[in-house]
Amino acid sequence: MLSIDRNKVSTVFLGLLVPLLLLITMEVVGTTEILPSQIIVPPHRIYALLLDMLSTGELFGHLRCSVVRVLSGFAIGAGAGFLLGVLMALVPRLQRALTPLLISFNQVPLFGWVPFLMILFGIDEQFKIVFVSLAAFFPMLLNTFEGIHGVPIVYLEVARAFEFNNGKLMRKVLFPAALPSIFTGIKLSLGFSWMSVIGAELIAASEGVGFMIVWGRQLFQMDIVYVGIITVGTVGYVMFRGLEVLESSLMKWHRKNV
Amino acid sequence: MNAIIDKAMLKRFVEGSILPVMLLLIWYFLSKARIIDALTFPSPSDVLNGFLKVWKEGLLAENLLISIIRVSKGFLIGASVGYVIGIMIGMSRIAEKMISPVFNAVRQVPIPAFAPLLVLVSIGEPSRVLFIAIGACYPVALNTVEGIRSIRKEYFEVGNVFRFGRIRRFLKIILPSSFPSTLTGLRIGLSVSWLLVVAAEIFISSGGGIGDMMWACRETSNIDLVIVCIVTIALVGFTMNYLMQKLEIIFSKWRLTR
Repeated sequence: MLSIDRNKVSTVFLGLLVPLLLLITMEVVGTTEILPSQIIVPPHRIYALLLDMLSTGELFGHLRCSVVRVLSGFAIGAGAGFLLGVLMALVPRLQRALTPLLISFNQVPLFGWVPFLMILFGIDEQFKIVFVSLAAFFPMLLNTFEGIHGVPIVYLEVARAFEFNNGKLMRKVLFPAALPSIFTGIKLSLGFSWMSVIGAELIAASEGVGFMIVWGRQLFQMDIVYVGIITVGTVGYVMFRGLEVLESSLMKWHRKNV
Repeated sequence: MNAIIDKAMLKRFVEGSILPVMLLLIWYFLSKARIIDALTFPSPSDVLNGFLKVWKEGLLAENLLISIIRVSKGFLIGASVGYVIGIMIGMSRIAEKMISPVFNAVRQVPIPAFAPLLVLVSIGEPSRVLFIAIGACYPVALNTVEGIRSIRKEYFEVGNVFRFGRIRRFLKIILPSSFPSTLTGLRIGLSVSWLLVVAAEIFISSGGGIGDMMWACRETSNIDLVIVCIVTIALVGFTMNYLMQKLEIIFSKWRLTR
């Protein structure tokens, strides 16, 4: 019993050691101005600014803007990817016709689309939503397709033996069997969406967390940049964890109902 | 037998090329009939002429070379650091407890968010290379750790019988058994690097490179050249990924014959 506790204590202690050392170093370097404190901002000032921006609601305003962008782009892109993935898995002819085209489009690295999309859609909201949708589209499409395509043939044969109609086949066999893969797609999609919205806001925006970071840099106020980076990381993590919790509870619910 | 396979392949090829060819033809005729205005969107022949022009001038090759050198630097730095982190986390429990929390926390931040910070820390080329290195580091580290974790216990037991020290255990057991997984990490890391070099050249502009060229073409509204750049970027990315996959296959075969 004691040894387990000691193990836990050492895990926590060792885990905190590096971040603490980092913070102390930053504090010392920043306050003594060994390096200019505009670049290495002492952590207590970052913390104070974080509290300040939270209480004035400034941070929340930027965050809400980015989250709305990410959710609308994700809904469009991942929704389209899901539908097309299902269709391609169910209709082989469609799959054969679309695969080469989709594969070639998927070869373009995400940020390679930026200049092109900006010419077509301008630099406002429309461009950002399209860009985020594009980021969400391919991971969702690939994972949905693979999930449904990879359902063992035995399952389908059993379903046929029970004379399931198409709707029932979808609900009772294909969708549940593909669920883990679909969730992988959702998680990847959301991750790419979050990255792309920050990227888009770095390039052209007047609001949003990404804009906040660039703005801080232009004012040479690095504390704003640090607060932005911390916010972006935290929100990304919370979204990811939320999906994981949702996934495990959905799986449990599903197992109970089978 | 061969004829049947060839026929099936031919059929697949034809089915797969119908849609791309149709899209090209529609694009061609819409521009030819001036339904698409040549000033707002180029025709396929404009794009081809644009390609020939920048190819002859050497502009394309020159910028491509800059990007490839840049990506190589970033990838080499990032992959080496990632490999060392992966080996440390995989081999030592103390290192794991110390590094993992920081590593996982930093990993939550979408990489574009680092760009403004890097610009202040170092100006110009080093900041672009560092930006790429951050992205290349994660997949290599994660896959190396995974590779070490999946090594069979018996190997280590044999090593213990022969009284292997740390170094021999690394050289004789860990390095060869985990390398296939590391190689997967390297492949992912390289494609992430290629994505990020384009992003870096847009975020931290005017250092040359294919992304910078594309960005300049957007500002002068040369959509034909933007399309040329997109296709070039996609082709290079595809080639890199293809070569890395070949390397993985060669390596796994080499392992089997030993």
